[in-house]
Amino acid sequence: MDIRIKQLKPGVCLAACKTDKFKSASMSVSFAVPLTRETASGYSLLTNLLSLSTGSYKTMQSLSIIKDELYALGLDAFVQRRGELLLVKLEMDTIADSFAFDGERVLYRATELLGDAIFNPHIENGAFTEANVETEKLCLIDEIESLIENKPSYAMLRARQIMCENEPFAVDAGGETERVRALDGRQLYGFYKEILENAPVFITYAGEADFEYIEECVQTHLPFTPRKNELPDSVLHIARDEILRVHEVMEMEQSVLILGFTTIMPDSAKKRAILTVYDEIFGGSPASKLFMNVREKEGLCYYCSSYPAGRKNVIFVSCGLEPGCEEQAIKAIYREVSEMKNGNFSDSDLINAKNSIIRSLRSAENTLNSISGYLLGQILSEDSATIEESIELVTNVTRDEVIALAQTVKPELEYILSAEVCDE
Amino acid sequence: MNSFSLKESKSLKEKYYHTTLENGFRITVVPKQLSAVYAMICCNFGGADLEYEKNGELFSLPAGTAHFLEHKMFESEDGSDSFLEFDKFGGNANAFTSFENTCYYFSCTDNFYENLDILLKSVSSVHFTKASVKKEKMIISREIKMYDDMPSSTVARNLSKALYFNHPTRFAVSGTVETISEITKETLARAYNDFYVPENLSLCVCGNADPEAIKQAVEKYFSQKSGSRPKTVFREEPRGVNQKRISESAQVASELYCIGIKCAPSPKNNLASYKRDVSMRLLMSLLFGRASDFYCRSYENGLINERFYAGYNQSRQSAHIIISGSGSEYERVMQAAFDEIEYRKSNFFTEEQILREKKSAYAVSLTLFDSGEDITVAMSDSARLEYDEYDCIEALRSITSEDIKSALDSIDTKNSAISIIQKGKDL
Repeated sequence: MDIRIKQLKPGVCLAACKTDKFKSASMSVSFAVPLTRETASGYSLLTNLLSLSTGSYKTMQSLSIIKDELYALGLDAFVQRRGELLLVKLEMDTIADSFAFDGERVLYRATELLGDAIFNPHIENGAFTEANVETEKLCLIDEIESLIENKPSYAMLRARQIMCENEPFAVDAGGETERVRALDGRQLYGFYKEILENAPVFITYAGEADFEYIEECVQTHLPFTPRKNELPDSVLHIARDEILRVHEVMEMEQSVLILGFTTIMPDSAKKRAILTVYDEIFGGSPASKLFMNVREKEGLCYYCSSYPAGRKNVIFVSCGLEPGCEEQAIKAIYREVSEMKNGNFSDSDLINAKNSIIRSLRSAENTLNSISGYLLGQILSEDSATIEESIELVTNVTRDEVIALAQTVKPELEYILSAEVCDE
Repeated sequence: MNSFSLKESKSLKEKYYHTTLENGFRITVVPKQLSAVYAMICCNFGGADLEYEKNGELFSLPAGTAHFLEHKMFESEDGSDSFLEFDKFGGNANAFTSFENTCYYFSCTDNFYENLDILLKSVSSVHFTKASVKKEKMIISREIKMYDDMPSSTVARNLSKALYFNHPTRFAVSGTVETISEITKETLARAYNDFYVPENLSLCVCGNADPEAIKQAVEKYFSQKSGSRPKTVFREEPRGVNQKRISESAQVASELYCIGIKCAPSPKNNLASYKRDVSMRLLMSLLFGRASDFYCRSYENGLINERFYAGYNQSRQSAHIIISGSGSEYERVMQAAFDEIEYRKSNFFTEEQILREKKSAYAVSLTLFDSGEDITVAMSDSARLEYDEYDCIEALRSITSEDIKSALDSIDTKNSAISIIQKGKDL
């Protein structure tokens, strides 16, 4: 992969990957802001408004038409959590110029449209229009409330809220209904001006275009002003002394069990490599201890996987169960946690886990999506390792390091979502 | 590379090699300079194969058999799991079942031929015991219940029950807890022996790999095998709908709805049928897509929201339009959508609108070639014998407004049903 990273201005960074493997191309602009309860709802609603219309395309229909004309596979705005950081992100996917019907400069025009959405939002009298704001509020509230329709995701959100209460990590990036209801168009425009002028900006591009052409498009259509480049650090989660048990009830067939654990803060590329290897052996893959033992051997559930929480010293295990099997599953999962602590995994488990991680790292260059994610990771944090550096770090992880990490894994939360509260 | 034929598309800048073994096993190799190699074996046996004829005799299978078999395919003779074997060679393997097919796949950056050998070995034979089948029933019943807990999945499944009298699409691919309870070791063995025959299997590899070496690997496991695919039997399906309305309650933020209009299914799986299906999909975007008058009008007046979707579902012997969304105004949405269909029959779209829709659909179909995984899914479709992805893109470009108009005129909104999930009790 031919990658170039350029600081265009203070606080404005571009990472581009030139590759001729793809017939489409992807560009994204992310504003990075701290994740807080007070602002998350506003940013979330803001992204709905930014993708609905622009200053030049004031109706949803006119914007949709120009997108189709530009072979746009999507011009989308959304919020994305990254640990305790919130990204307000606009993304544009389109086809590569060489595949356009009449030799159009699709990228140039698509960036122009992206620039229109960012620098020329649909504003009237210093506010997002009331009609649009009201429509999007209803849509966002429906989206937030409909999370209960996906029980595993809902349970994971609740576990995060309970275990990391009062930490940014517990904030739902999508927002909260009451806060969404209270927002108005003027306030939202205020939020937007603030990030447009002050939030650090990260731009990524992956596709066939030359760097000069990308820079021309970006400099012409995305004229960001200089700003500070300050990003907040993740808050260290302080573990409770005793395991917290929470049981919530919902109308459902199956039970969802989430176990929360604390571990080391993965605040360096080296620590992240060790945590990734630990997770791969413990519960991150179909060859892992959780999958092989809790699902395959004991047949306790359909899925049972572990999820390290990005740049936070927390690991969750999620599993879908027959009601009544919760205690058995908790025991089975804790048994695997102990197995890891006692170093009861073979050398081949370690080698296979490393190979599997290295494969995913190497495969990152095979899709536009993963390249874009990789580019963003490179410019968002100062200690980011390149793919080759990450591979080396993973290769060098030792059995002792994995066992040492396993010693820090401490259970903190047992969260059950089920139809009825069973006897405990 | 004598045994392989080469097909190239200059406009797409794509090519592939293809061969069919004497026993009917098909191999496709798409050369690409990727850092991983992707491989998929596809068996044309899926959720819709519930009744079939073999040597003049009629057999039936409980709903969910193909999916159950998929779950057991990676179990080795000694009871161990092939996932561990793949893991040893850095292969990332998985499988899925649709109404049409069951597919087994892996990707790897090293040891491609070792991983290919594991995949071929796994699919070339099955091993199960009474106990392992019993345990798998527990796992699958949990999978089924997980989907039962997803109202968006229930509302769509209920629509199929409302639209169809007999077609297997009435059942989920994974079956129900009741139907899978009927599955035994013998059921699985029979289904395997009848459907996992070379003529019904295909392999697609995408990446940097040698076609001849792949062919040899396939021959190691499949050259001794033969046999024809049994003919799937579909009971006659009346034109009308089984039930006009089906309603259930669940814990949802707002009501969910799925409106269906039953259409005449394509008689054969050929390029002409594909073109007809694509015309219907383009029509759905023209009628109800985000740039359509209907969508923008309904979104702005709050009748629909971002969850609104309209599409066309087509499978063997079944075809229907789906219009889905959330909100309490589903009756009004249904009426407005049907009015729009009737209005457009006499006020058809402009050539400019159609060209724009084709441009957008062309861009979407091009992205298929951007993913090794998607390429193997599309090119290993073992049911598709007469055309390939290049033909599909050409077919899309050749669609005329007459094709789309004829799709529109074929819609009869009388053959419609609605499935609703009402709001259940709150927490």
